[in-house]
Amino acid sequence: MSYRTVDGAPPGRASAPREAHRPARGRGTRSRRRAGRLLGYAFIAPAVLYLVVFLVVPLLQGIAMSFTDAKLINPTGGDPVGVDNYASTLTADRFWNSLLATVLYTTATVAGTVVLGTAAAVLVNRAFRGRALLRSLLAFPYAMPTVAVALVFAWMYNQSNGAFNRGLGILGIGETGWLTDPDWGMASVVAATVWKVFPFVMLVVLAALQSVSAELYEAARIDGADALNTFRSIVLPHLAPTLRIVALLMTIWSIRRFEIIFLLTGGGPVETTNTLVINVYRTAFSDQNLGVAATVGALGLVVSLAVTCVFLLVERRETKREEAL
Amino acid sequence: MRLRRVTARLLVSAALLAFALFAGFPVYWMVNTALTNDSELYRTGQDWWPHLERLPESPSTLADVPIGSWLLNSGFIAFGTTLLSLLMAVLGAYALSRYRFHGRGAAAFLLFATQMLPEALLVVPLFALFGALGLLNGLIGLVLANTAFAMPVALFIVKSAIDRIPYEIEESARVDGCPRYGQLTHIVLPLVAPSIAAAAVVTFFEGWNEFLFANTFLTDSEKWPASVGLATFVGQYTTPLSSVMAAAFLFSLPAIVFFVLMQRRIVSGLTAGAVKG
Amino acid sequence: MPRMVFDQVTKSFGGDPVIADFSAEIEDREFLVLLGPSGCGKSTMLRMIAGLADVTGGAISFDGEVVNDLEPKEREIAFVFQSYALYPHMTVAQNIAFPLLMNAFRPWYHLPVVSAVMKRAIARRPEVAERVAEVARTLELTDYLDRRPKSLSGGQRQRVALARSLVRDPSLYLLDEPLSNLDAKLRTQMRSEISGLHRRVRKSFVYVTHDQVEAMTMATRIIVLDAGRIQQIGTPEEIYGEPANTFVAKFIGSPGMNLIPATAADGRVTDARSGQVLDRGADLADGDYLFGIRPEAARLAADGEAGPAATVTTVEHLGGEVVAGCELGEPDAEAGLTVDLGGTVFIRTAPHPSLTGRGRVRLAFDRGAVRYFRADTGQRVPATRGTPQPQGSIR
Repeated sequence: MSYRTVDGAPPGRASAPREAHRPARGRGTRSRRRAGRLLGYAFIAPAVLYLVVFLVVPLLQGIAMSFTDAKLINPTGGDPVGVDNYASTLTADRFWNSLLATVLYTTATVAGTVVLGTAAAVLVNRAFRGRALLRSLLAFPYAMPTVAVALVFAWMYNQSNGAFNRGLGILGIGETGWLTDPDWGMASVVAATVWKVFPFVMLVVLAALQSVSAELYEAARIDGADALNTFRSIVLPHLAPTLRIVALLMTIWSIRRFEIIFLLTGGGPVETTNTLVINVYRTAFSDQNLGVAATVGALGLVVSLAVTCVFLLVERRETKREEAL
Repeated sequence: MRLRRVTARLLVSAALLAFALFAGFPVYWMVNTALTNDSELYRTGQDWWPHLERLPESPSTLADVPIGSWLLNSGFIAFGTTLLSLLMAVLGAYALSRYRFHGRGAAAFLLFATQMLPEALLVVPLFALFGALGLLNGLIGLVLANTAFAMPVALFIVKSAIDRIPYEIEESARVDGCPRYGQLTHIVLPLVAPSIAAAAVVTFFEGWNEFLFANTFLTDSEKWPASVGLATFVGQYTTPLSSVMAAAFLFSLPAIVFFVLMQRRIVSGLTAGAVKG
Repeated sequence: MPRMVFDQVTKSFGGDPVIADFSAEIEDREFLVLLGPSGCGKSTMLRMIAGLADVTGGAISFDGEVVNDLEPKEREIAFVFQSYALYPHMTVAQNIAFPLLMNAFRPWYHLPVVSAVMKRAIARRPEVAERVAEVARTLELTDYLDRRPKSLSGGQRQRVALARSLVRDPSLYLLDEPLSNLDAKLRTQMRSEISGLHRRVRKSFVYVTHDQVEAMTMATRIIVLDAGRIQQIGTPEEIYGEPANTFVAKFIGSPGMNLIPATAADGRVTDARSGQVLDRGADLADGDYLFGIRPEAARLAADGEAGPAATVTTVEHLGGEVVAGCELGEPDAEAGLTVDLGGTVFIRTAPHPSLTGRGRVRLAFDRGAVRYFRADTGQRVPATRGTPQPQGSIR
């Protein structure tokens, strides 16, 4: 059943009917199968070609560019410089700082969104009046355009008139330069990101929670488990596969994330939030050095691929382990 | 026992309230700021409660920001991205879900893998490519760039919906005399219409919210979409903040409304791409 | 209309054969049931007849024309799926009208606005509208025409699926376990409705099921399949009375035919376990056999009547009659009695006081109903008491 297709034929296997049984009318099985396959190619071709032209080719060009000294004024006219860009990038502190910033930003946002999102999902999963309303309210941040998020957070973080410092002032705590103090820049950016993204985790986990059968909860209650026991021994194991996927998505998206960091701090203060993607952008369009930017980009790609591979390996091992149980 | 249950309920309620405040406050603050004038903001201090009585005059505060023409540009980019993405996504999703052909796995992998590419890494080569094609300072170029990132998402949303249709329904149509291409229009498309709508919402707002390419490719401020226009105000307090926040609210409103309407389908589609890719 | 001929039809997925060497000839207007346990290949066979699955080897022909490579719609068939496969986005009326719509649909109607207009126009054509109304009336669906499948009960959905196949007046109806999703009571009712439909439309039916009751009550001809091979072809009476081998003997009947390992010597047949005489004067070569007897052809021996002794192990009351399981011989009661289904002989008879647990009884067999199977091959030994060899068994 699993390998049945629209033809009812197993994938990729052609069988020729015996010549003696060729029918008088109707196209042959083989030509019909081939027509079906051609239609498949025709349907997928636009999407694949599009991605090749607009993503794969530029990606390869970018990698090629990392071996040249291309400048912004003349993007395609760089001269080959071998691995000079890589040598200079890897020996400069700037790259390693931005790798550190990426790791910090990614771990903090992943941890923050997964914990908050799961907590919110578990809370909202209970039955109470106004649940649908609250669920929608909690989803607002994810829907809000990043630029609007940056605007309002920048204003709330404002040192002398922002809501945070005014609120803390009431409690008698002095002003903090949330986006300008090197000690607080990263934390502020992470907080804004977590606020924006945690609803996604919440919605995904909520969907998974709703597939836990009510009988399981009832069985646990009859067996005398309290709320915390139920959560740890029933809910959490059920959520584990979902949480792993969500964590992977959050990680990939955190490594990719550009706008909110760029808009809030632009990589500052003192390069504390200068993650790899911000670094690429600033090197390309502020320093106007496309060759070096492409080099940082290529190195960043290696990093994100490595992280993804590790995740997928863990995922595969865990899935196997769970299936074996 | 009874006391414990009451305290537990109180704790849960408190946690829910905290979450509601956490999620709602920035949105609330945006509206609040939109209804406060600059002298209050910087001198006497912003009130914690919004001046709702100023709501009727707020359209006039928008005059400080050319939000109208920006939103038109955003709309054009978003609409173009949606149209182009859906066209390719629906056909591609049908092929991936229902046809077996050589390279099917490779195609699925390509579609999945591109979702992991950071836009910021591609912005440099795309900048070079679009420069060569003469697409740099135009909205068409932005539609093309956004589609490359939005289309795979839409494709996986639609594919996971098609995957849920039992084969028997199409086989039944075949017995009833429906030709191959007709199965798409008569059977599959009507059945996945809600998911196509969800995919449309996702791609529309991918185009609507997009900032990076627009900020990089556009030199002409006439062509700015709202994201780029509003971004110029981040941390700048020369334009009345009430106008800026009102404009930002106007810009956010459609995204919030549509997302809340279709959140369930959107989320299941977004993860489907990752799980089954 | 079609006389179906299957000539050495085979089907394999990858290298594994699912159907092997399927040859049969089916006359027009038969109600053919493909019967077998799940996974025996009966659904695959049906899908090949429909043209939904490709034939790996051999030929299927309707009225002498090979149809292997014809599209389903070119075969003038209707197919009722196990899941009914109703179109969820269409009303009952639209579901029923869909085959007619497809018949009138032209490729250029796919254009956006044209499509909606033409669909409506075709549905309003008198020949379409009247046909739909007529079929709906036949299957008592008139009140539900504007509903969607989701809001119908299982039986109603089943009738919509039947209506959709009926509307085109096909020459061959193919039904894939159509009653398996219904509850027992509804199943009985739909069974007679489908039989009635067959009598009314006077067309060929091919019906796939694993339920022998459906097969026995509806079929005019049954093909019993196991592991992709035909076990027997015959009318329900032949399949029941003259099973071709032990598989058919066991599979048909509830419980199936008793098969007692036995040894024949000089026409005397003795139970291999207890050594008691089961039959005398049997026209058999000496050797090992399986002594086959239907539960209802076995009874308690009358007083003074000779017969093998047995011990009752299980008793199941079915109201008017009793199905009792017995073990041949008189095992030592102290040694404990184990219920060994393999060696249990079931009898179906009127209730009797001696039919209680551990009761000692004597059995008697209706000699005319005894069938012998070879112990090594499981094939039935040709009948000796005047029953003719059934037609159409394996060639």
